Amino acid sequence: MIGFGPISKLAKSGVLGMNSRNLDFIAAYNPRRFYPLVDDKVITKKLAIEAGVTVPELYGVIRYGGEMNLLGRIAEKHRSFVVKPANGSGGGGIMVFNGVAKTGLRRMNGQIMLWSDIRYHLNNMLSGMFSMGDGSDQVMVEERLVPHSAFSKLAFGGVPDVRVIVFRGVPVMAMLRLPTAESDGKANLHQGGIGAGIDLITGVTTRGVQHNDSVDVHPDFETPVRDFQVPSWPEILDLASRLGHHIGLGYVGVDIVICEHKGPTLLELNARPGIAIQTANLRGLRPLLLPIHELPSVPEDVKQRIEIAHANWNGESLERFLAPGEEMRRH
Amino acid sequence: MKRTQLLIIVGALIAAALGIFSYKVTRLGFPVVPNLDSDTWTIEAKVSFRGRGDPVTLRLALPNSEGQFTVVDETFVASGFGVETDTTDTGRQAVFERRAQDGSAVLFYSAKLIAVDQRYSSDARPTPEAVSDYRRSERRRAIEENATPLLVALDSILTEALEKSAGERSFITQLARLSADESDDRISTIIEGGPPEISNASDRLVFLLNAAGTPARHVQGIILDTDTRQAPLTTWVEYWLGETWVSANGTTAEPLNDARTLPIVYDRQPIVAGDGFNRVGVSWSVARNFESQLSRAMERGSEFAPWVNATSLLSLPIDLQLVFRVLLLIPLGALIIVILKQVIGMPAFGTFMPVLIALAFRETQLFTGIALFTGIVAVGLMLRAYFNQLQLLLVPRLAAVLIIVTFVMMFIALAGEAMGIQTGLSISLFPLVIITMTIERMSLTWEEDGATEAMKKALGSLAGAIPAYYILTSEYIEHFAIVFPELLLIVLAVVLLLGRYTGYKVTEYYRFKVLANAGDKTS
Repeated sequence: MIGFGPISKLAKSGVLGMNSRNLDFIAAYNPRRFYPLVDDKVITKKLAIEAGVTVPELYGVIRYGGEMNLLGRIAEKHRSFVVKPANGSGGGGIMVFNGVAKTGLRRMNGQIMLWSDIRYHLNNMLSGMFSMGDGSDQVMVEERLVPHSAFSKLAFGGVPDVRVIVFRGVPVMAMLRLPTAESDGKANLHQGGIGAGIDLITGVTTRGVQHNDSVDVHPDFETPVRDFQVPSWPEILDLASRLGHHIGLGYVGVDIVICEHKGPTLLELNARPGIAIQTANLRGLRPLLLPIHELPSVPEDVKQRIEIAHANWNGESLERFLAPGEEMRRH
Repeated sequence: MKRTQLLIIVGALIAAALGIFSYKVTRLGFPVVPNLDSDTWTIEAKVSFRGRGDPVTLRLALPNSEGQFTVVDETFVASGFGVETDTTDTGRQAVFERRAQDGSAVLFYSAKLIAVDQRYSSDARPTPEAVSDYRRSERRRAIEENATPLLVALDSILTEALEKSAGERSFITQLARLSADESDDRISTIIEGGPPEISNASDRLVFLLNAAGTPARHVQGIILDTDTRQAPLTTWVEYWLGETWVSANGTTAEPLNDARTLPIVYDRQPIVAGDGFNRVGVSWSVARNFESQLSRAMERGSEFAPWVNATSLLSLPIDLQLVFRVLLLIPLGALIIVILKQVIGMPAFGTFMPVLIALAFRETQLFTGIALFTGIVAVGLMLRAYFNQLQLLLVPRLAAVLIIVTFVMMFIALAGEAMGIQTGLSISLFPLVIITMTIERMSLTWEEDGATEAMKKALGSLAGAIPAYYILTSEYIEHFAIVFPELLLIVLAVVLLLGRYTGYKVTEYYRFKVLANAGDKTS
């Protein structure tokens, strides 16, 4: 790096910048042809089931305007469900309903959304307004995940999730994303959600950030966001590692919801996971990614990969995970 | 491997660019900086008038080739009119004729002026004679016969100027100084007694010079010293000094730069004459052309290296050249974008939006551009919000915004024309689709990420457009781009290099400041 004061300090802290993420990790490890696997949530769901991962049940897919009646039938049958664009990005366009009324569907905040408004919204989704790329999209109708009761005082009006960055099938960093009143029930950090760094070994949160500023308590409940034990942590790591390995993308963000009934459940995958997770953990990604990059191969066994993840998080050398006759790659 | 390949390509591009560049500069003498004292100009006259339904004959005075410039490539645009040029003793004229003209009409004249070096001009022209009823020889005799106050005052002024001067040039300067002083009794006597027009300073100077025996004439013409399109008619004087006509300021007699004065009519001849019309208006415009040093370089090139000319944009017709003057700036714009996005990390709508906005600002000037842009985007945003309430589908809604934006631009153009503001015309080049897309993206960002994020991106786009504007309007950069397009290979090389840039963005320093500082504490 250039000897320019502030920048070299940033380099020393191991922060992964956007340019380096794109070139050194995404371009190098994520073949473009695999993108549809994660961008299209219908395909992701199939792959996840193959990998033995819990997913929200798919109630139906609306492909064009004429199929909108499907929504009415699903609503009658399941009452509580989520509507989302199959190729959506950043949580755009997602609608959650938990009841049926004569004039429309009931949203989580108790308001009734009129059928005409719903139809308009579905049309916008079908015409690709909330989707990556351009052109049309499909609308997925799926099971609404009920968040684990441990989150009752930590998530405002939405579903909290855990984002795990998985590199070559090895979880490297994780954070808990908590919706707030400000983020309108969405768990996205740039919309005002809280990101809490997680100790990868214990699953206990270490600190929280909102809008890039450190926060200790959830603004809507005044409950502390640090030292919180994320439930089912070993299962979460297992799920992330299993799926990250199966999907064929080297560098991927796995978003997991801890469901009250089903346990850790895959929400979605992200082929270009953001770099804000570093602020939430107060730790740079680069020193965690490089040792795994240097491994000539990663084991097929999930348990071994999780062992690597633990050692990596503790900053231990990964030499002991080399297969016989292998050497660390140098670059 | 990829790295080596890239470095080889980058090296080859830079070597090729510098090689061609240095060959053109050192061997063919292509000018590295734009020659601001250019030798060729394009002049245009626009004559608008109103016919009364009668036959129209309109005579427009034209510049002639007798002075510093040779007039070539004359063109007339006058639909429905017969055109011919005519040289009379009052100068060259274009004669436009039509059997009947009712309502308003516009005629255009354009010509190219090439400077000619008078020193090498072989045809000696006859020395003019001072035209005056008051020349010294006659004056003396007249005073003896009948000492009118005019003659006495005239004689006194000329004698004083002669006494105070050391030579012909200083005599003229002294005379101008005396002539300009209207509080002098002698001058007021001359104004009262002389021909009617000499209350005007330049006419008086011409009168006095002729009376002193120095041939002089009054000139109406154009000063070629701006690059702005509008060139008002100016008046100055010419006097005969040392075998040549010298153009000079009408009040002080200070000589003007001959290479920058274009006389059109002398001695208050009319610019436009004729009959059958009224409400006539003439506006002149001037544009500097490509440097003559360039054309010399091109000539040299055609002897030594024909490929240079064949691949040079300067061999294209002028209107195509104008297109490329803008097109060739786009690579630079792309470079700016790459730097803004990859190295600085500026938030903005879309990838090339800031540069496209900057290109649009080129037409409107920066401040009007910003005002128009914000205005149109604001109107569009409001309309889009309303259309959203009407629950229109995505594509029809975009189309509706596009149509409304067209109307807004039309009204701005009409209003600008009515108030005589030029921006009205240039906004028609403002890229319509870009504005519409900006509106759509901005309102989406607004809905999804809130007003702050939308404003941040809008300001980012504008902030990116401003440096881009200054770079894209630089005369030197434009010169480089069109004369040495091979230098754009270097731009390509830099862009390729930045394509492998994995360092931090400037904005990331602020974003991850807390991590950088945390590193401080632990180490």
